[in-house]
Amino acid sequence: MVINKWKSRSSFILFLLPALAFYFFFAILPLLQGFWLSTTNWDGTAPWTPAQISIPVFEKKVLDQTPNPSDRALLLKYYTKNPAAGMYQRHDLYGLDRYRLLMIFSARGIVNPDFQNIGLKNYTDIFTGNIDPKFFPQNYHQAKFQEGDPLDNIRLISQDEWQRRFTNHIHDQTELSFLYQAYTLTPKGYELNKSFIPLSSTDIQTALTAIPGLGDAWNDFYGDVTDAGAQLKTPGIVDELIQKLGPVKAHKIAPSGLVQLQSLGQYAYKEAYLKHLVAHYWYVAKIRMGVLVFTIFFTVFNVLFVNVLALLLAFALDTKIKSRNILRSVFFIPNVLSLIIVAFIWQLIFTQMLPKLTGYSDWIMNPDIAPWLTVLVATWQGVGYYTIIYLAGLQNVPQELLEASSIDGARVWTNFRKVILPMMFPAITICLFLSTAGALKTFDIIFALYPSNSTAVGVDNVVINIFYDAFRDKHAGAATAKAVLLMAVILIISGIQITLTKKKEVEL
Amino acid sequence: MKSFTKALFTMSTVALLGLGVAACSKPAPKTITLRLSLYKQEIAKQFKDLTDAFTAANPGIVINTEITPNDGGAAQAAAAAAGKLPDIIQSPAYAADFQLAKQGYAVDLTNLPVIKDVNPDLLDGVTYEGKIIALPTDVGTLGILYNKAIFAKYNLKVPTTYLELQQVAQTLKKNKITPFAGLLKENWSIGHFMELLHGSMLGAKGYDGLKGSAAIAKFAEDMNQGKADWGKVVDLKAMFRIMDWYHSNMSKNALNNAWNEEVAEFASGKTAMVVQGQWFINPTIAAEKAANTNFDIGFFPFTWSNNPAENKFFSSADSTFVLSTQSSPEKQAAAEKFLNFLATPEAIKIWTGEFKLVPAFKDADLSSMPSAFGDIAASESKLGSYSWEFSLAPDPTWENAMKNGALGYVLGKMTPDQIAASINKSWKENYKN
Repeated sequence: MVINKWKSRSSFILFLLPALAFYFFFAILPLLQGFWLSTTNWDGTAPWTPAQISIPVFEKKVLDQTPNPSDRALLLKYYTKNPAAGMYQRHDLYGLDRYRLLMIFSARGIVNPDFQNIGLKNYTDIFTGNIDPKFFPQNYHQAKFQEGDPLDNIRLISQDEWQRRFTNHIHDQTELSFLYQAYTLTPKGYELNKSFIPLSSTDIQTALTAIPGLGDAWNDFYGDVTDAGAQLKTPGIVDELIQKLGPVKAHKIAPSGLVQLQSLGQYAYKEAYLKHLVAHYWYVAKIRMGVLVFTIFFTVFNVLFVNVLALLLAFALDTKIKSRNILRSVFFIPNVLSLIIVAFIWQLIFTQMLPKLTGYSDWIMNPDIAPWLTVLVATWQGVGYYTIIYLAGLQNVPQELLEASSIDGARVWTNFRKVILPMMFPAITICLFLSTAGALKTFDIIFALYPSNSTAVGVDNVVINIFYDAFRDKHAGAATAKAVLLMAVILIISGIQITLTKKKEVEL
Repeated sequence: MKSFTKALFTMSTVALLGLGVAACSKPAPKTITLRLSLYKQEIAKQFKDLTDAFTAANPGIVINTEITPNDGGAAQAAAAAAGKLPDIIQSPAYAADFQLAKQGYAVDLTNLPVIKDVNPDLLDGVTYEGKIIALPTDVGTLGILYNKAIFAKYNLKVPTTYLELQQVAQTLKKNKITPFAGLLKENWSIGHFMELLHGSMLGAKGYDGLKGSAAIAKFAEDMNQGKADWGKVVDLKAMFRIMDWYHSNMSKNALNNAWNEEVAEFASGKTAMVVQGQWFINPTIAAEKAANTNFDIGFFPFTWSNNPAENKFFSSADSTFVLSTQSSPEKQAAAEKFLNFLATPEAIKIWTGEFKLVPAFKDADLSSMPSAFGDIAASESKLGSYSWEFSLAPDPTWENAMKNGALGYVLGKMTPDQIAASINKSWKENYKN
């Protein structure tokens, strides 16, 4: 009995106490600190206490007003008088002293406007949607053609696109008839008539510069005609603009030059009109997932694919195929690789290999494909790890149980459903828990795959968004509030999921 | 064998004792180690030569260089927040420097001897509330770099107007050469197009009765006060039409290109031009050697207007060094020595010869620089230059609203009006003074 008592006491001192201390210092304290920071408007760079402060202010307003000698000693330990600069300058400051100095300064009323307590405003901003609109899903029109793109991009438009983007959408008859003038239906689709605008825009401008007597006026003329076309004015505007031209008014241009000016003006006008029409109507209505929905998307598909694939692989590796040991290593290797290497490999695949193999070059930067690519890489990287857990679970299923149920007449599917799956539920519980929590806080894969462009492509998840919010957009306080909420969400989801799956576990 | 071991043991004991005695009897001179954060990653390798030269000239002061990510605002923020700012901080001129100064992190350098050697035009970007708070070290220039060999082969003249540039592009395409190398897998390069176009159009059109850089500066001031609208001061539609033109003349693979790929595309002669800054020259020369193309690089101003006088280079103080007030007085003094060292002929030689960057100092000898720098000087003496617009915007506005806006536009996800609205909002929110 005595020994047992000693044993429990020593294990408490040796193991439990240090563990609790660690837990307090590395989990509870940071959490409290995080919550405290989330109630400030800190931008992440502003010093909590002045980095330098003028000599009279420091001596009269701070030092003289601080009665406690240890506080004064602390102030003088960190602040050194630099008479040349007329300042007291602070040294590098971290640890607990930082908080003590902050308290001394705020007691004296010296507060940095970029580091102030603002209560729960950061939280109310999140719940009332008063944050970056990119956080929430939004409709947007993805442009397929921009006004400044070359005509070559729209020389051929498929019949289907024509119908969907133009005939179904354009109700203005002049606009529609303009398009039918410009294009002719051929077996390949709608083709731009060569005679409609026979010159490239460069050639139109070059020809304009060559008209004798026009001089520099060509530039304004071309600009005005282009603007008129883009504003869908009537074709008569070209003649009006010609009449307004200085050289024309001054009769400096020969009749042949005028004829040329008219036809070139018409081409420029038609090109601008056409480009504006196509740019205006040729878009695809899409939904931008936003940070919130992308996080859910990523988590759901990552958890689903990782677990289903890992389970399948575990079954495959549990058979008696000869190469199973090698295969186990092969599937596990991605998990051992550094994530930067993983991202590097996949970047090469997406930017070099896939374009060459498929002839289609737009993979990694394609906003439609990018979310799936992040799921793909995360799944590839994670699946080996969960396979090992499932394999262990599978090998724990007693053979005699399987044999017994087979003798009772159970087929493969019944065996799986009634024997293997219930016996494997502890493994499923742990895999689901780990993969869900892991997917919700994924950072590195997305950050390494999309080093600066994840925001524009639309693959920012909550953690990346928190990072950018804090360090790029300089909203450290608001970002911390998001981080605190994320932690709560992870706790709640994991809790629900564990209670649900625990219920299904059976014990022999 | 045994005696050998014994001898070895005795020898090493004697040696250790000797070392101990030596250490006791001769106190080693105190070495000051300074931490320097460098965001210009492209000169990281060569930078060691500069710090080594400084240590050779100033024994007892060692500089450890830490590389931070491009435009290391985030790294600096983290370091400042953790109370671990480096002693010498490389930081872009204007807004980034002003932010450090505003928070009291920057040592006042107004009376530092080296400041007198700085080209006075560049002091604008480092003057905060009348004090000089950073040392400008080099001039950043944005424009269009071109492959002189390709231009000579197809008998192309260096374009001075937008139409001439379009004609050049048309000839190149007829000869199956892509006009421009592109970099769209990251957001910073396309971000520069925004300021190139917006800044040029604003400078040419004028703002509040001013023209050129003065107009850009006044506009930025009004943006700070929330009085101006980014999208209304220029013809936004025309601006984005020109952006479309550049985009459509980039290599098809631009969306898959990061820095290295863009350098390779240009250096291999697959593309004839690239819209980039002078920082592109040095890596290209290295890549040319690898690809064995070895052509001369030329440089002409960013071209968007048919009035040749409106196409100017964008030149401003690029990177600067800020000294941290959080360092001890000895370290501050040592860091000041380093700044003074930068204006010595020895340091300038490294700056021009190895970094291939134009130093910010008056009368610097540029003879060892690649010929492209001669093109900058020639154009600037004739036409002048515009100052960078992005440096005047608050850091988050440039990093997020401008860069991601431009990339979002190229991906077809954002319209010019949305970009303008987001820039206005971000500028207003993030300007604090």
